[in-house]
Amino acid sequence: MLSKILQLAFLLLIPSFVQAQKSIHLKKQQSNFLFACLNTQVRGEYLFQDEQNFYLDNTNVRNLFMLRYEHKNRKILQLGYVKKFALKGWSLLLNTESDANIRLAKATSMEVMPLNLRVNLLFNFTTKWDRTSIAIGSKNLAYGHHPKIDAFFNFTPTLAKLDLGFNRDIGIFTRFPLNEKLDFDGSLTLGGFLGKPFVRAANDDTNKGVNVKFNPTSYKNTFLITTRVGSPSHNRQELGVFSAIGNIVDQQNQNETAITAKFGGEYIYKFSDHLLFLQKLSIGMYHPNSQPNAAQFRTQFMTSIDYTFRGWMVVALNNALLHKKGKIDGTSTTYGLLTTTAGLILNPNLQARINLRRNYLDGYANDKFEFFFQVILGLGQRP
Amino acid sequence: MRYLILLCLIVCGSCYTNKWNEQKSTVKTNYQQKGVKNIKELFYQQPQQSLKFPLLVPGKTYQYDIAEKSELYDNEDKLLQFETITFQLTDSFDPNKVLVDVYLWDKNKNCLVIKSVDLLRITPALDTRGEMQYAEYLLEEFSRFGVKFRREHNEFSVILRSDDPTLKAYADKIYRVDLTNNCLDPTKWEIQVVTEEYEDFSARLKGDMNYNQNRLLSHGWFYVDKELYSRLLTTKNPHLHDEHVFNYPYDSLSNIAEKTIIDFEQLRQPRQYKIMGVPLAIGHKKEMPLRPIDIETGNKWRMGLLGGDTLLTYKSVLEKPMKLAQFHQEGFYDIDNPKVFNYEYLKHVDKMQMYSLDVKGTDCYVEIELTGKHAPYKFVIGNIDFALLEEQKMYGINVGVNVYPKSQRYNPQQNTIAFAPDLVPEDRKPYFLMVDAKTNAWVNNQYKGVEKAFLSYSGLNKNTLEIYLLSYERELPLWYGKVRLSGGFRELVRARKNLYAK
Repeated sequence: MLSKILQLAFLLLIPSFVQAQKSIHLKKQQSNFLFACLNTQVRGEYLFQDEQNFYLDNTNVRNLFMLRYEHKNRKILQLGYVKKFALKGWSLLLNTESDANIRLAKATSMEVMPLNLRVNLLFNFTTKWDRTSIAIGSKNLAYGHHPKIDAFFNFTPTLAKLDLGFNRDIGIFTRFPLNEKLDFDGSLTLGGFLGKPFVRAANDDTNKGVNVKFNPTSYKNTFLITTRVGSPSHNRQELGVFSAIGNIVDQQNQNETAITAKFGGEYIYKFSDHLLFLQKLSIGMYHPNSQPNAAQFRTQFMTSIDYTFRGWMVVALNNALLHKKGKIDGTSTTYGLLTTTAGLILNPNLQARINLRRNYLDGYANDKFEFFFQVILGLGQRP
Repeated sequence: MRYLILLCLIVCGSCYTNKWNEQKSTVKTNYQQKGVKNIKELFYQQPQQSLKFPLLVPGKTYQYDIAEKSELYDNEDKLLQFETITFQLTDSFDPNKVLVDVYLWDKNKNCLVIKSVDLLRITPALDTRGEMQYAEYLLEEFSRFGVKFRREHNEFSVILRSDDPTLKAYADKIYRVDLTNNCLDPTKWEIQVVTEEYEDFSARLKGDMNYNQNRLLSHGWFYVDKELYSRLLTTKNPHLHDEHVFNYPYDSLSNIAEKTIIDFEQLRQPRQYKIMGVPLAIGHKKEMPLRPIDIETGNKWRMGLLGGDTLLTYKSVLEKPMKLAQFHQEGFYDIDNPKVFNYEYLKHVDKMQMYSLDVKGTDCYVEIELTGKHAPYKFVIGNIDFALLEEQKMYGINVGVNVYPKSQRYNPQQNTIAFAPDLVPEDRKPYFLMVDAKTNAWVNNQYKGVEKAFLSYSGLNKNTLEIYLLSYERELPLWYGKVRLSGGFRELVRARKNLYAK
């Protein structure tokens, strides 16, 4: 079924898009680019209810090494225009994440240190029509716009991640103008297929040493359609409505699936190149297929502020509220998550950040305040 | 059902493209609308409301044509070798546009048709006020700009009188038609019909150079009716400082213009702060080898317009008088009677200063000043949005104020953070001027042999800016500078792209 939808979508898309042209250097420029990025963090937490309430550890911290290869298609540059539809370039992103669990305060030995490898491949196509593009592969979902001043290094959560459990998926993505004032963003994806890493290496069983395991994720007929209609991103103020409908991998139990239908609206205001103010609201239902009684109505609200001072300092504040109401039992739970980050750009490839995270309201078992010290080192060429 | 709705939305939505003829016009006043009416009156007086002009065709023996030539170029039967051009007024009631159908005819009555072309689109616009208009008029009138029509958007069609499959095959290869104004002479317009031919494209793709697949099929100049042109000019430029500005001979006008002090405050917002940069190279100081940098300079280099002297460096080109092929009155290059320029003054240009301008909504609009302690002249390039510069493509800017590019699409891209030249807001019009270093008096760059500048980043990181100055007729680069931008400013540019261009 899904393959048929993809085929149909692809066939209908091909004749529909097109592009423009410009002058280029006579001598061909570099078209292959490599960028490596190391993102490492140290974490501490303060548990409000615990007697020994201060810990310095790395629990739930993703130390990440990323390798990004980007290729720009020389053919399209040499032709100078696109007749109908052409491959603009492609990129390969290798992510190695480590969820280190080293409790400096309590533990005496390393307990678990899983190392996950994720592979993200993306093909970008351009068309003869202006501002009309298609991408196939792994990409951020078109679940509203979520611009960030410092997109590459800013790891504050997005509504897609909080609402759907993932903000990156495999599928087909498109953007084009509906008219001068409205753009359409859409994606048809595999519904959280990327939830599990491609390879996992861990010393889960200390007697056997490090165990390397491939994760051939089985496809469970999941899919997700996201749409967004709203102001184009070049506007200073953006207004948009978005939706996500599908049968996705369950956020709580990765082996199960859930039906979700979400609708939302967003307002984005950009003040010059320095300040970004973003608000998003989504409502909808979430229905785990394995637990029909756990179906919920969900409302999610997110506010985000990004600020940069003359390009060498960035500050971001992000607050998310989630309200869950059981469809059957009517119980309500509300979660609050406040995230702040302050980064010092020592040079374009070296940043030091302090991130603070505070869980609040009644939805969490532990009322806690966490802080992270983060160092990000980049090497190579990035856009 | 929902998939169907989604896909219908995609298909219908993707049909949207920006059309010039649906754009809000640059003609804004009643006076201008009267002007449009006057222009139409001129057509009404002609048979079939048409103006017909013969094309002056260079022919096969002319070896300095602007691009590679198609096999069919100047063929014996003169198939698709257009000899006449006709402007026929359409029945449009748009009071702001002069819409004509353009017909190109060959000897065999084969015809290329471009429907609904707004003649005001290729009429120069004066963006300055007061005395600066003298200089701007000179720069606008004697450097050409034009519009291109694209096959893939059905912006023109070819009507053949025979079923000859070879002819049809060539007609199908036509993918660009360029209509250009004022080729070094007001009222001398130009038409180029270009095919795309792929015979050796694979080899070109593997090579180091970006030579494309363009082949010139038909090329010619024509003189438009002077009365028509005069009415177009006055209609598009209602705020003339001197109503006789269009009537001065070139040299007289140049003398008047060179007495004008350029008031940069009128052209831009105030400077906010100086952008720190580390100069990495000045071409002539490092004696860097001089090479063509884009397809146009590449073609002209290959054609030998420099008189065969190709072992140049950025230093040597400034040390001796440089002979550059010039145009005849009719528009042909004349290599035996070159113009001679002395570029020694550029030796003293060794400073690149950049200032962020106080443009609403961004810090990334920049003014660049190329100067030097002993430089007699300085070059000022302003209102450049650094978020629009790229590493694969060069941003070209002709000398003048908001000079339209040599060739731009008839149907422009929708305005984003990038603007079509005709629709750019008042406080963001790019400019490039050569002025006296001490007095800011305008200097006629044509006399000094400089015509264009290119700006480009040197890599994907976009933290190093390269600047080129090009010679008269864009035959070779003369001056090169490379500067590393401060990390903070680079991050601001990156932030602007993240916020507005993703």
